[in-house]
Amino acid sequence: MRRMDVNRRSSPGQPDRTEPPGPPDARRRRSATPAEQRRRVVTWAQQNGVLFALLAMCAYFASQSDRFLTRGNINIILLQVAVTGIIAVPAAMLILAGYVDLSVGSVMVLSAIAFGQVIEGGGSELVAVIVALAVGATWGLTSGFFISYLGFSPIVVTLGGLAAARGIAQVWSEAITVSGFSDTFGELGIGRWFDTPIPIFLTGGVFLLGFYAWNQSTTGRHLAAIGSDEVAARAVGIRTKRMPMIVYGLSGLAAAIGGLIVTSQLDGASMSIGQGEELTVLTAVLLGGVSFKGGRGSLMGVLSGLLFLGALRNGLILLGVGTFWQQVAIGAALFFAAALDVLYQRLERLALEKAVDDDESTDLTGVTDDD
Amino acid sequence: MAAGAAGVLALAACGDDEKSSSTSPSTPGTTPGTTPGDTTAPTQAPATTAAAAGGTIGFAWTDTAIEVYKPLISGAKEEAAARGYKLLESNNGGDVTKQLADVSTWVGQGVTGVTILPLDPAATTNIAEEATKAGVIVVGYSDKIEGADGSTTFDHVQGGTALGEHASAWINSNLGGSAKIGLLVIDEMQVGRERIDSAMAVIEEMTTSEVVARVKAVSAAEALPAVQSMLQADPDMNVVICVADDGCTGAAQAYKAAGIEPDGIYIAGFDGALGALNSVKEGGYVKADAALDLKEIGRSVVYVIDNIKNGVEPKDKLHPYVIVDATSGQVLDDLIASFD
Amino acid sequence: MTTEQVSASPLLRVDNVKKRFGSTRALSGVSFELQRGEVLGIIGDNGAGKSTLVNIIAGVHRPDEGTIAVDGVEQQLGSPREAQLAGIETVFQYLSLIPTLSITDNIFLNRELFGPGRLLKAARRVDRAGMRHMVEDAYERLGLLLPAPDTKVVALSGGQRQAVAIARAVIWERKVVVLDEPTAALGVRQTEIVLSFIRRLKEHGVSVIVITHNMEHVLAVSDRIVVLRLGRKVADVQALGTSGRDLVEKMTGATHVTIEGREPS
Repeated sequence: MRRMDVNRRSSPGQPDRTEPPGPPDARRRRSATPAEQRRRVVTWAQQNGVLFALLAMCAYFASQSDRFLTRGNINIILLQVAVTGIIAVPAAMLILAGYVDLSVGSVMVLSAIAFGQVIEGGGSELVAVIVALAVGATWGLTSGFFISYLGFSPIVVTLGGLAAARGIAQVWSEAITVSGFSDTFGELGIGRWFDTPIPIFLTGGVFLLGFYAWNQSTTGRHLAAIGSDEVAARAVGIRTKRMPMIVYGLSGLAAAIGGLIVTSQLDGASMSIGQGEELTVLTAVLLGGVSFKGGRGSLMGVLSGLLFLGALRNGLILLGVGTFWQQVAIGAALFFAAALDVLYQRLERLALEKAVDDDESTDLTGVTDDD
Repeated sequence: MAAGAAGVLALAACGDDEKSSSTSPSTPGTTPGTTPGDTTAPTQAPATTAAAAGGTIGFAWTDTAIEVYKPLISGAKEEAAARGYKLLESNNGGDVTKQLADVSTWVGQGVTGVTILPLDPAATTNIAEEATKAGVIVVGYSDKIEGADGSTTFDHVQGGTALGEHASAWINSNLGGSAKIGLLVIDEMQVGRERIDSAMAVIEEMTTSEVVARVKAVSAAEALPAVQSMLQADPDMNVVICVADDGCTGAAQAYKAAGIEPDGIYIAGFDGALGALNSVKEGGYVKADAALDLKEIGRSVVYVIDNIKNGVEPKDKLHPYVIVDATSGQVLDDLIASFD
Repeated sequence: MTTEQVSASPLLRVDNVKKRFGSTRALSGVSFELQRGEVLGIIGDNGAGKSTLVNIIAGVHRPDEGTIAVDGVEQQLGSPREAQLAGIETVFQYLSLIPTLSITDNIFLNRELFGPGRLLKAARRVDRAGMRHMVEDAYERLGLLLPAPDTKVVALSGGQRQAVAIARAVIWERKVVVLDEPTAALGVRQTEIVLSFIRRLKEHGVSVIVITHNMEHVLAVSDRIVVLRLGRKVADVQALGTSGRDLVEKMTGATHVTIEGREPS
């Protein structure tokens, strides 16, 4: 048995990995035990279950309507989930960390109204955009401060924000829709590149950044750590107060971007913007397998959930389904998402119980008690 | 979505020159209990702290963020000032529970009367009973309330019919008598059904059109994605009737984004919201609007109660819709001006 | 295992450490040394000051007086991170493992490897494959039969989690590994697993401090034992040749002790 050099510097660095590999038989590649195989299947299903549901549903709609899979219709589906998608990325990160932002729809409209009011007051569109983004980001950071640093309940603060932000927007705008913006601004919501609506590119960009942060950088796992066990996360030095606050700021910023996009699409800063948006965002995130408890989930799942919602709404209209059933279907999707969450938690608990049983009969170190 | 949905139907109905409302005897400062000769007038509520000198009126509408509320409440405030009433508003965001809670509070405070837009008929009827028992005058807004003392409503069937006629004329002149129609609806409200069904009845009779899509949408933000999807279902859809004309703005934007020219498209709606009126005036996708004289309706919110209190008519005011299009001239301008 | 060390300076030297909380004196001048490659057991009853001592060594608290030196160099352990950088890795009773993360992720939490390659390292891109390989290497080196490194900790039993926590300490090749009540929450079978793991660490030349209130366990793994009572060190003896009764006497201050039902051995 090789003696470890305890005088090495304080990080497991390259030396370990540049050591010549041992003789082939010393590098045992353990094959997965049945328990591990079970666990891998569960994780895989967790991440990809909605994707399959999405594909199945699309296949069904395509079979019922030859319009469903046309380039134009796919563009429409993507366009309609674009704003939700932009907001869903920071929303998912918040939920991963065990927090939630219920005020996003109201921050959308507040930012939109801010934009409109700056224009009304004679400001340029560029200034108006900057103000709108600042309003959203500031609202988010402020909520985040109260929640993360002062310990207020996320639901209470953001629910209050939902009412307050919309209320402020209403008073500020006096319920009049400022409209008639420049064609340049209209490009944001209506413009196209390569025959694809611009908001889709924005959403794509946000998701790419999100994927990098979630999977390739330390952000995703640190947020998951906070959501899973905040005390333990703090014990290893993760900044458990600063990170959620920043993500709340991003959530507000994303809501502002969304509000501007819809304003551009409507060519008007309408008070109806963002109504109920938080529910749609939550549905997409939960459908995507991000557990509401926190600590677990994948952004790929959120993307699948998002597309699922978009395709569902669109397909129902294409098929001429009655308005009542349209609403029922959306509600059912949310219920389905909640049920999935419970299912995964059950499976995880079962895996744990099995592991304990396994452990009773396994010696960790491969040696018997006569050492 | 409930708030936005219920919100839109601010339908006000008058547009004519009927002056009876403003010439009815105003009775500011009348002490409670003196309403000679009117056996139907309810006994006055016991005077409590909240009652103003001439009385107080509560107006329970829906989401006050809706644009049409502005001229509505402006008319109500004017009329209340003229008649010496204090006016209370309900900031309920379209939530029926909050709305009725506000009404209950007002009844408890001893207001003279309340005008309520019944977001939920059954629940509103209950509250109306309580109010009547407490001697508070109850007036139904937009829809009648069972057991109420009066109403200020809009003739949805008349409005729908008139709009249907206008649409049919346009379809016959511009589309050869046959159109593909999309409907933006809110079927759970009676108002919504009456408007759309009466319009469609006329269109079906006078043209050979078909309905290609029917989606629930009330606000501009809801209408935009709805019409986008409807256009996918049938790109030849060339007529859209919106149960609430805030949706017309969204519908128009959907067509614009799809790169379809306005000339062959007919979008119309109900309510008389500023955005739609402006769109009609500019000419473009939105070709007509079944508008209500919101300010006048706002006035009726107050004067119907005052009428009931004093035992004069009308106690049930029916406001008609007036159809405006790009050629409507002064009428259209006046309606737009009422939003200032 | 040999207990005679020939190095001149001890690996860890705690000198006259004092700490009070308000009016309570938790530690009233405790001193001891840890030699290289030694397993030192620290035992004491509740209130003896064990937790405070651990927290000070781990950098959670700062002593009012006294010094701590690692490898002859005096250290200011102002935070857990500083203690780590000074070469001390502490495994607390509360394991600080994140249940929904994998074994690998837990071991590298907030100390992630970046790369591979300079560009990705600069971009702070997490080197998941690299981290997994290191854990697999550690499995081999330490002869561990834990589940695969990508297994989520939530699926591990108590004994396995303790082993992961200890492995995390070891993999970072700190000079001193401090284990705070490693067997407290475990059943008999799992306790034995952990104790044999600790013995195995010694074979790898890791210097360990084990804090516990359990006499049997401390006698089973330690080379030397320090007894604390009421904030002071009352004994510093070789494990070999010490009996449970001796320990109990020192822990409680009594000179004659009978354990219910049997003589302490």
